[in-house]
Amino acid sequence: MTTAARDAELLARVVEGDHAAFDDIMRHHEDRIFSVCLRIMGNRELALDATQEAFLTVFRKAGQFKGQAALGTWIYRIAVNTCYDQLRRQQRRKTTTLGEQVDPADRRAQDAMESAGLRRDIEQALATLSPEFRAAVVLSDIEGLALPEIAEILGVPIGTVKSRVFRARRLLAETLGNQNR
Amino acid sequence: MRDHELELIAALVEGRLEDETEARALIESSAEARREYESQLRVRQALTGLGAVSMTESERSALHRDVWTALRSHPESRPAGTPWYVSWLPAAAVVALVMGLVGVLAGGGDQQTATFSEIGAAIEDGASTAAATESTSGAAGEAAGGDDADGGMTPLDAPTTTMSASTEGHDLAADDAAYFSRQAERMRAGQTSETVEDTTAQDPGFDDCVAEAGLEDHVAVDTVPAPAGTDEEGPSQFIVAAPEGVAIADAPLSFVDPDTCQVVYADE
Repeated sequence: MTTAARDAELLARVVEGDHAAFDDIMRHHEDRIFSVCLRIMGNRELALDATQEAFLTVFRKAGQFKGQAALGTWIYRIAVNTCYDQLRRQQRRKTTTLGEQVDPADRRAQDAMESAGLRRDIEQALATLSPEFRAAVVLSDIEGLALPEIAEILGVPIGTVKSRVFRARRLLAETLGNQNR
Repeated sequence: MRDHELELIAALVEGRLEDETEARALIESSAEARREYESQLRVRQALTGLGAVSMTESERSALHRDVWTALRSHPESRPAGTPWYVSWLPAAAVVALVMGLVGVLAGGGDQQTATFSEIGAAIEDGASTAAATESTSGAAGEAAGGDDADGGMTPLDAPTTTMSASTEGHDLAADDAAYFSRQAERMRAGQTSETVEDTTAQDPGFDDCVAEAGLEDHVAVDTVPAPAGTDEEGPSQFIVAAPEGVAIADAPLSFVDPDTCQVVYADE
């Protein structure tokens, strides 16, 4: 069975009320969605909230998925929009986004964090970008997605994705240059 | 540098070029192009080095627990295969018909001579009209459900409600008002003995938003999912606000857009 056929069958089962099918979808995509949300939100707690909200939307809108895009692309799109939504809400409340915080119990994540000196700098620099630029460069350079898929996720033309990624890298280079001075 | 040159540099950095000759020549011949290439490459490598992040086991457990809790506590969050309002159309049509007949009868004159049997016949007509409407709307709703998750809603006749015309990025239609009205009824019916102090808003920031919406002495008591068909750019949920200290069963409820902190629907 092809991936598309498997996705369509899973979603059909979700629409029919099969919770196990939804659980399968969630387990298959949750790490990637959390990763994207973390890079966009800049904070594990907020990323977890956004991931949760995104999967609730996936469940609610399962019947509207037509299979024109891959299921993963559709879920990414919902997740990115959820992050935009939460960032707008956060901005309204004027709370400051903190740098990435790691669960102290998660030794693996802690080690990874400490292994690169540049990591914190680049994460802080990412936080200075607008959500649109941040999403584009995260999907391209961290998640490694192809331009057409990013365009589909963000709902913009490929040219716009190219421009956002390029300009985002320029802004990051400037910010990192200033940090290192 | 020209757009074409910038495009070449970006493509080289991303490894998208089958033939790199032109791009390599450009960065060899121009110091500006070389600086741009090196800068872009450095940032891309740093970003690539961040890599994907996995959830911790405690985060994974929390995600699953919270998602299933939310789905169980909001049964209306079921997958929207068929637009939610379709199942309400027959009842809505009958209610509208009955109210119209009552209005005619109360209006005096010759129309007061209508008998119960005439009303009954009219109700039967209304039911068959509603059934026909259901069939048509079902097909339209199915056709409108796109994979962009925008969904599609067929406007109902405007009900008598108070609501703001729109919120940022989310135009409220008459059917949204019907949805919020139904949510309010559900909350009142389900929490007959609770007062507002007994409930806790899901997010402390919601109370600020409620205050910003101009609802004095109100608190956020719950959230409801956005109506089916809400644009993805719009909020995914709405805050339910009620006057503090009043039993929810008796409280007029207001629904607030958490993005704009504006009241989108308020009970009379």
